[in-house]
Amino acid sequence: MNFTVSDLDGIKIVRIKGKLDVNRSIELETELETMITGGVNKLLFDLEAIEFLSSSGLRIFIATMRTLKDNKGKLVFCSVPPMVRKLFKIVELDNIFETYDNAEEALVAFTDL
Amino acid sequence: MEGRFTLTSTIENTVIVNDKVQEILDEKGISGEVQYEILTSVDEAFSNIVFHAYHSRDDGIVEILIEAGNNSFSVTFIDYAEEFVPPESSPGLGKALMNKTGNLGIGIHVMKQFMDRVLYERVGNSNHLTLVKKLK
Repeated sequence: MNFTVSDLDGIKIVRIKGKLDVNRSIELETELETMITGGVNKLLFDLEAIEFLSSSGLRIFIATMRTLKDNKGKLVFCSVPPMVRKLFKIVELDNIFETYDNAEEALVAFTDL
Repeated sequence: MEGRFTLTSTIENTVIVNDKVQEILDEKGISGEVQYEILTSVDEAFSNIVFHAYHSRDDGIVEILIEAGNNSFSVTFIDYAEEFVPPESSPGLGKALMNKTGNLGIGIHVMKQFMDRVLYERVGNSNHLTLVKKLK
C-alpha cells in the first residue's frame, strides 16, 4: 500500500493505492494524525486504486471522521470500488460515510464549510 | 488441494497468511468478489487472534489449515491462547462505531457477512476458528 497527499485550497486529498490491511494501516494513521494535529480539517479519501480494505483501515476512517467532526471539519470519500462499498454497507457505515462518484463531485461537498 | 503451516502471532505475519491463501485461491481460479471476501475474512481472523486471543504477544502459535475442494474453500486457525469467544455484533453497528462504544466485534461481523459459515470451538487447550465459503 502507498498513499499520496495533495492539497487543493486547504482540502487534503489522500489517494490510497493497494492493500490497506492491518499491517499497513499504521503508516496512514500516523500521517493522518500529523495532518490533523497540524490543523487540517478537510479531508478527501480517493479510493479509486485501493485493492483491499481491512477493518483496521475502517477503524482509521471512523476515528478520522470523528476527530474532524469534533474539529468542525469534514471527511468525504470518492471513487469507492464496489467491494469496498459493500464493506461499508455490511458494517452499516454506508449511510454515515459521505461518498461521491469522483473527486470533482466530492470537492463540492466542502463548500459549506 | 490444501496447505498447512504454522506461524507466530505477530501482526506482520498477516501478510504471509494472506499471500498463501491468495496463492491457493489463484491456483483454484477463484478470483474477484469471492477472493476479496475470503482474503478480508482471513485478515480479520488472524489479526483477531493476535490482538484478542494472544493480546499482542508475539510468541503465540497459530496453525493454519487451508482446504480447497470443488464445492467449498475453508481456512481453519488453531491457537493455544486462553478461550476466546468472538463477540456477537448487533444491529446499529455503524452508529455504535461512530460513538466508539468499545469492542463491537467488527472483525467477526465482517467474517460472518463475507463467509457462509464461521465456526468456533474450544478443543482442549486450543481455539479452533474455521471459515467456510461455498463455491458455486
